[in-house]
Amino acid sequence: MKIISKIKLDNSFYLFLILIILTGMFKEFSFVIVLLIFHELGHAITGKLLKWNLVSITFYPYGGVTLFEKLENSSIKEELIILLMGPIIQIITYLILIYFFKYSYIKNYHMSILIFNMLPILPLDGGKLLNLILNKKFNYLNSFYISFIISFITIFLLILFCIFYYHNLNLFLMSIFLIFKIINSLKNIKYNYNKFLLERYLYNFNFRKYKVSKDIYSFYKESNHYIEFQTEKKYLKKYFQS
Amino acid sequence: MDSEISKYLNKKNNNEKKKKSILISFFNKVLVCFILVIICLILMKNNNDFKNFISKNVFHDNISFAYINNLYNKYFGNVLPKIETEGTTTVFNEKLAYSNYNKYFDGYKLDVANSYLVPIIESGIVVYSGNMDNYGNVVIIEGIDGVDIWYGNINNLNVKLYDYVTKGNFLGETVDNTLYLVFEKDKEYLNFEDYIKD
Repeated sequence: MKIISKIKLDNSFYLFLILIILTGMFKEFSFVIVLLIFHELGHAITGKLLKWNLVSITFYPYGGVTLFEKLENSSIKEELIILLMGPIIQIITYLILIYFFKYSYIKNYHMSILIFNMLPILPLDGGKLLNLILNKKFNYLNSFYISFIISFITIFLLILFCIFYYHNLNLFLMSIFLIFKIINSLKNIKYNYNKFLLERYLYNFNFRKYKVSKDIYSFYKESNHYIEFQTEKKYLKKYFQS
Repeated sequence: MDSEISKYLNKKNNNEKKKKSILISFFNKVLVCFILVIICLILMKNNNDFKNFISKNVFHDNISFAYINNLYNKYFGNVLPKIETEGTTTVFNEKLAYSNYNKYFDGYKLDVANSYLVPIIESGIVVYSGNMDNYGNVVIIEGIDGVDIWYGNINNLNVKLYDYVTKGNFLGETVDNTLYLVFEKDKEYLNFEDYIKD
């Protein structure tokens, strides 16, 4: 019941609903919304099982966003499980739906929602997945910049695809909305990185790996660092107290 | 300093008070609807033109879902996310074949072969499916040109309510050798000859 009270609808979703009513796509829309709800519940319930604090679930026309009260230093494994459970639950829901209702268009909608969510664009599931995988190899900032560039290229290709091949206004508007989200994430990276450092100073994380880093801007996720012949905790103490 | 903190605290308390329960906000919306309806009723009682306007737009005309959908798809693409995949679609593509037709109530009665397989005359959305007086089991399909077509005396249906169907596909089987057709647009019944020329 607590999860249901945290579900919100974005304003664009209401416009989308009006469009659905005017064009009479009641049946198709009901299947789409069931798929979307179970996709987001997949994220939310897995997060709940791993004892993450759920903030809200917001629905947009082509998908939803599940927000958790998470640390920047949260373990990659847990984040990966939460990310992957959405699509997995969606596939299970699709298989149940196709068993009871034998409409061919359910497959179309299911595949398109899945592919759209798995595009490597930062606010979407695919982009987050890419960022997590990059976090293993590159440091926090570099992995963000790489995934930022990849998501910008993808969104550019998506818009070109929209204009020249697949004439669709809704997808075009959605991709413009995504561009704003990506730019916003670039603006926020400074603050996120500061949060990342502050968490390391305030809490005691026990990571297995140890690394030597040149400066404070090349910290890796899930590893401790030595910087200028001292532990990162001491260095960060100086950094935050000065 | 203390006053500032108390100011902040007061502000927070006010915010908490503003959080209404879902039930109260729902009740408020219902009240607004109720007031709008009452205003409309008062205006209708005093003004005859307004009464005609309301009765025409609310009770007689209906929103043509299929027409709007067709227009939207033509200019802006699909409403819902959809990738066209090559699936199996049943190919039927028949034209209506009948030997004779007569006027019958609001529509027409066609003589066709026994348990004739009825094709869909115009693509659109299925808005009604059920029994009707004089027509037997009826399917109403609202076409993309805004004309509702009633198909009477049909069983073994291939379509369900609110399905989008395309022209020439298989609709159902006639019970015996008669098929009832009614062409309707905004509560006016159209001529069969005008609608199907060949």
